[in-house]
Amino acid sequence: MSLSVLNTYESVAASDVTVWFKAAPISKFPKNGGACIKYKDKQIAVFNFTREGKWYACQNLCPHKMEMVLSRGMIGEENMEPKVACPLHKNTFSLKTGENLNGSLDAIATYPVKIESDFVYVGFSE
Amino acid sequence: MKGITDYDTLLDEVGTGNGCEVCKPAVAAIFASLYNETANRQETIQDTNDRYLANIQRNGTYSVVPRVAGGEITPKQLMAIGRIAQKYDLYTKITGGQRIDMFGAKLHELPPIWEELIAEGFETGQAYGKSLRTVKSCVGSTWCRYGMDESVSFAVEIEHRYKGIRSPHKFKGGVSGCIRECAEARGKDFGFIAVEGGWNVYVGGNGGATPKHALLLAEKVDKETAIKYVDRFIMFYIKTAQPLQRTAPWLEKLEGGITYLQNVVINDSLGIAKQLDYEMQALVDSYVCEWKEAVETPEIRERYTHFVNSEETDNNIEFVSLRDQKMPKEWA
Ligand code: SF4
Ligand code: FES
Repeated sequence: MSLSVLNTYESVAASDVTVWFKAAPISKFPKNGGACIKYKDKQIAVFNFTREGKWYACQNLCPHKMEMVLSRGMIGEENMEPKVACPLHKNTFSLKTGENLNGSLDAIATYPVKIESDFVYVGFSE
Repeated sequence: MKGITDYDTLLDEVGTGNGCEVCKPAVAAIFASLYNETANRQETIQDTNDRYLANIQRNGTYSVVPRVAGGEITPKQLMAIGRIAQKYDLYTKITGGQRIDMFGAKLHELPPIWEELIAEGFETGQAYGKSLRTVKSCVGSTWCRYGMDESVSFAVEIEHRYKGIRSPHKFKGGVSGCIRECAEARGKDFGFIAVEGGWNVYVGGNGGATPKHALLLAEKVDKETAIKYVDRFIMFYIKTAQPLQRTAPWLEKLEGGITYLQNVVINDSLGIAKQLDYEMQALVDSYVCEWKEAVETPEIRERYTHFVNSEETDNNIEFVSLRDQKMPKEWA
């Protein structure tokens, strides 16, 4: 896994979405947890915060050791900020800003999510 | 616990917010020790390794460890492990706990690998859990000319007794056939050593980052008594230790130390011995192999897929060869 792959992930703001990719039915995503979807060559982690009825998405790639694992991390919150903890070394990232909350790693890319008729859609700009 | 059995209800009743990666596994462990439920029921509050019932390794692949009680394994079982590891191209290594670890399984391969292992008579080794790992043994009087008693038989029996019990941290055992201590039983959370006139029982040892020799709990007792004392010791530990506290630091912090513990488990100074016995027996009786449960339950099996919208697998996992086997490619 190299840096060139990391560079293919860039945050997309809700206002910049040009493609709403129909990913999978809600039932495919664990409650209060994450799952990974494929969009073109990208791996995107999608998280279902069932308690709050909120959804978030980010790159599946952890920038620490370049492993495709973030969707298997545990989710939670810190100061009202939704976050994911990487399952390998527990670096945590905000699912709103992508910022590394407990270290100085590069921020991860985040993507908008919407739910329509029990389907999960992730927003991309290309 | 006020009869609460799931994490969401717990947060609703006594917590605030949505929890985090520290409190979820802690709560999961408490539920597990109280109700002996497997990690399959509330999978997203389990620690990483418990969620998929496998140890996540460096490149996001997993390792697979079947139980080999007491380290005793038949040639037929050895061949079965060899065949399955070869079929799925897994790296194999003998662990410090006298069993065989198979590395490099991708997430979607875990259920078929376990299905084959279970068909060969294996069950989960819970290497991923905060629970009993192994009971290491020497060959004892069965083969060794110095052996005072049958350490392997005892180790097999006790490993099956405590398997699957989830606890504040992992725990390990050892049984040696004589004081030469080839099984290093005093380096374990509980250990039995055969001596003239019975078994010596040791508790509160471990290897790892802070090595500690176990302390003598009882001397020259028969096997039934030895098991009873260790049952109570483990149950008392489960109920009073902090999350992620192993038996050695727990015993060090216990006011009155080993003498106090002896009073509780041998002399029943707190009047709780009966209850501890009862609770331990309930845990022993409710054992199920969580991997059997997983492969036989379609909804659980479905979780073992890299993508939820594609049959493809993770093409980013790369291996290089190493001494006729494979290892993860170095980090970029
Ligand atoms: S501990 Fe004693 S009985 Fe066991 S293998 Fe060593 S010498 Fe033999
Ligand atoms: S790879 Fe994610 S924290 Fe190290």
